Amino acid sequence: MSTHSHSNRLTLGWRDTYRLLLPYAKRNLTDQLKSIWFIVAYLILFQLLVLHLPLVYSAMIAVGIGVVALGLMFFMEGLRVGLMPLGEAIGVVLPRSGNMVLILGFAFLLGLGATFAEPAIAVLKTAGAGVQPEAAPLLYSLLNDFSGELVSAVGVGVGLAVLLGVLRFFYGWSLKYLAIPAVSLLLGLSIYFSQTSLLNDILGLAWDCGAVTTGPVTVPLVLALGIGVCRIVNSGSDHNAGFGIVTLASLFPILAVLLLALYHYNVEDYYGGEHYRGELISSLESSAGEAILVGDDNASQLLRRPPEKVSEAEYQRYLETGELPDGYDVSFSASDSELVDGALVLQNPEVRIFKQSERTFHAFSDESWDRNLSLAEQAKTAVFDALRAIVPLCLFLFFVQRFVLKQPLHRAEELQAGILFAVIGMSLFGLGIALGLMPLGGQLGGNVPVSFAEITPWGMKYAEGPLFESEHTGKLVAILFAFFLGYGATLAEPALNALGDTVEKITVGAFRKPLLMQCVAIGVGFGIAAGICKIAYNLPLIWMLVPPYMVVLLLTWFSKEDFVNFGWDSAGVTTGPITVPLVLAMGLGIGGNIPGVSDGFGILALASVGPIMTVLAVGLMTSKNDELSADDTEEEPVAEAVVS
Amino acid sequence: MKTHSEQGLSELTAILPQQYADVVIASLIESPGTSALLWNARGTLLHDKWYRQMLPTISPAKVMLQLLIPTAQLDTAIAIVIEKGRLHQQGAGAVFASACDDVWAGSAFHDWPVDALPEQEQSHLGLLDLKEDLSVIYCVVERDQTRAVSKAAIAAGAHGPIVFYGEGHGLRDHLGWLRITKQVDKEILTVLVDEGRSREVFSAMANAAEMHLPGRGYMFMMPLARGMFNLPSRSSAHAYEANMQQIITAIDNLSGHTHWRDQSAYSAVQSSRQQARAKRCRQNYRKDMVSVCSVVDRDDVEQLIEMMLAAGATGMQISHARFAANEEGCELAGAKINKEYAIVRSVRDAQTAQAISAHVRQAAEEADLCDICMFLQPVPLVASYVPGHRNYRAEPIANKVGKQLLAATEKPAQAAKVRH
Repeated sequence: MSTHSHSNRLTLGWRDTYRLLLPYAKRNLTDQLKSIWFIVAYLILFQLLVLHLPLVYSAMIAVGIGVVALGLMFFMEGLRVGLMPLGEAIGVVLPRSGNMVLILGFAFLLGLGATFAEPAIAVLKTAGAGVQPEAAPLLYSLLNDFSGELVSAVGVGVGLAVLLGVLRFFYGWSLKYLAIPAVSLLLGLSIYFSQTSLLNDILGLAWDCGAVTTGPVTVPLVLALGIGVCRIVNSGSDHNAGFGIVTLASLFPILAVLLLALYHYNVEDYYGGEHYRGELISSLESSAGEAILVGDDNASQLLRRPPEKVSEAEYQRYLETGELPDGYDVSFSASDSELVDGALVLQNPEVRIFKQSERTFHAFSDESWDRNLSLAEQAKTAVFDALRAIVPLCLFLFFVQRFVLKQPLHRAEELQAGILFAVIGMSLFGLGIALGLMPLGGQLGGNVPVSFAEITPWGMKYAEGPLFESEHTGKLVAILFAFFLGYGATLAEPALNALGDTVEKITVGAFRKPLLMQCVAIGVGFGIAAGICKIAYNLPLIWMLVPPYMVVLLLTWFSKEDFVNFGWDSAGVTTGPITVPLVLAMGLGIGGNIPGVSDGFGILALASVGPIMTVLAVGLMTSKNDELSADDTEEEPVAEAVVS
Repeated sequence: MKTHSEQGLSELTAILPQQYADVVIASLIESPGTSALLWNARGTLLHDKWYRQMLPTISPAKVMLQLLIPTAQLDTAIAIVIEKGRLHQQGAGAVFASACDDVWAGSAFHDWPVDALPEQEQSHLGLLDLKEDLSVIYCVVERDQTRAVSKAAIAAGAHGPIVFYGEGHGLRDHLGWLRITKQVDKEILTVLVDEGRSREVFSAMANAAEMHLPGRGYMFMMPLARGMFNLPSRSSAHAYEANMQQIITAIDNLSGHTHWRDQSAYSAVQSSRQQARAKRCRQNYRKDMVSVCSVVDRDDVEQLIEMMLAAGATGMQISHARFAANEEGCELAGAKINKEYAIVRSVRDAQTAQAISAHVRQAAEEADLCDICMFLQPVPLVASYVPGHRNYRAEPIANKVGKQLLAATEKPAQAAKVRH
């Protein structure tokens, strides 16, 4: 049908191609640098200025950040030019086929495939690396013995969610009437789970599953599919805007994991249960599974800095001038002491003056590149992950469009270029994260506890004491740090950028992308700060989960449908490949220094609640404004009376 | 192919607030065979208090409606729109119509049946407010420029522009995958102006958008046969007091004209630099061009773009619209399946426009493209970059490529002309 007459096609020489590509590349690169500069600068400055600790692997981190920026540039372009038009094209053509079974089947397969393409199980395993089988047997089993079942359960959950989301477009159901009952059910189940200690451990895993499922490839694809379907399907209500699938895809996996855990609990085939089929690990081996993201020397002995000696020269100076050496500490000891008139009197005192040990502050440590890191290995892993995430989904969509729906693809060249960009971008992005953001996040995660505990920071020999006298002040600093970490990392997320573009497009520019990004970033900041608070004070997850969700349900009830749509979707979008490693590293680092905390679950779940609250709050604020101006239009026109 | 030149078709466009859009559409397409095109737009509002500017604003949502109806039914249609859409209220919307010349339509195109609209009682209020000396300014710009242009328009005395999305296509479509280097998405601002202020508003917008520079967009002004508008430019916090705009509209209605607002005697003298810049801008205005507008099924847009490029249209803007019709559309699981159309417009000089129309008509017949309609409208004023004018400082790199593209397409365009 669309016969692109290739005889008309213009071929440009190398110089002209370069002249077209250069401003385009520059524009995209600056856009991406604008989104990641904050988080990088913040992390570096925090470590240097607040924690006074040197940066380890500085060269590797610098290279990694550059690679991340490049990767983001390619990936975002790939999304804009290839993946999202592909999803939208299918969404437009699918309803016209007239076959509901086909449409729903496609939706289910898409959700299922997306989960297997971007498995979040690695993230969950990292968060649960420090889990002891004796302490939390059901959790341990789910993560290690039944991990295949876990992924399948999540996959089925996401598939059902996409199916229900697409069905919602046809019947015009309000998202409020789907989300509020679903969340109430989940909260009810969670409260029931929190009564049993075995099931209580699962809560963090379940809620985090929901937060991490939809990755940076799935979300734009599913959004575009929704937009495409809603362009064509007019179910009578004005407010269906194509959103809602991501919301359901974040809620259903939680239910699936909770049900899976309940099943295993009743069948009792978890670790230590009656019908357990695996081997029981002896306690010696199990203690080796410590939190792996904390620095190398942390678990064992803390080496304290030996005191420095007062040198001869300083002693001579004391004898001559009576000046004490710089930076000294004094200790008194006496043979006899008595309390006379409320004063402490020492007989025959001995005063010892010795030098405080100071360390010299270097901005960069000696190791500028991790010798254990093989660049080739990381690159290979990154490329494989990218191919695995993008290519199967694209092939599936292409197959459905060409052979099942029998429609030609418009502008196939752009789609091919876009998918290639997306693959290149995602590989570079993955490589850059491994080189740059993981070490940076790991360092900071390992070093932030220095504000309230005594630890051996990354790459250093001696232990550093707590920065603040009071433990609470130190923890408060850590929580504040977490807020800005969440804020900055969210601004860099590619999936959120894609959502912002889509929201701006759907509302025809009424709800601008920077507004949505800032709202969501602030919400995530609050969520992550709350999560770190939970870890720092070892609060039970159910206390931190139920109140925010109740507030969210209340806000949802009173909000306009438009805002409910993209507010809830912004929750599913947030925790992505940039936020998760940083946040988990910090969570595990802090948790490693709090007695009684064994895993890093729960932060990501809380990070998903925050943005819903902020976006719905902004929606309520602006709809109040609209009501004011709507009152103007309801006035009786005065001119009428005068004319007639 | 049918020609309607004996009947006289007009293009009726209405800007409606979202809550009344459904009612208006339902009343307009009551009779079988009638149809309308709709798309979403947003209004622009500036806050009058500085501190309110810091709060997040969500611009009012509007729906734009376009009908191609016989001129005889124009008054009835406008009356229905004004009444059902309650356009008398402050800040509600607008409706305007312009005549179409040289209309031709394909066999599958939905024609508006004659006598479709019931004769409405002549409502005095409806027709009293219609003005016959309005012009509409369409401004196609990149997304970053919209705010500056809107502010300039409001400062010059116009209402807050109504903005909707469009795409810019043209010679770069022939580049293959390099097409991705072009930012296709554009925002199209629509401003309705009275005769007295039209030139001022046009110049203010052209200056703000720097239309004389390459790559800044395209802007043109079309005269309207009839219309009225009631659109706000500022949002105020006062719910009970009348704001400035309501007072001004009331005085307009009382006096019956807007000349009392003429402030030319008080306008401050512009600095010489501003005057020079304005003069540079004005030199780039082109006059007496013609707009070739066509409505085609969205799946066939690429074919149409190819045909227009072959006929000599080097650039065009496309906006996508939903189709609302009074017919049994397909239904699936309780939901109606929309049809989508694309509205493709290109503004060229009169000769090229005629050539384009003739060429596309023929090519559409050959390619069996039935669901298409094309018409011409006069455009007295256009502001855009004119290649070759050297009164600007920087010439971006892409411009050189643009010239080469232009040169390269002259060959197939000449070949196309030879064929006729």
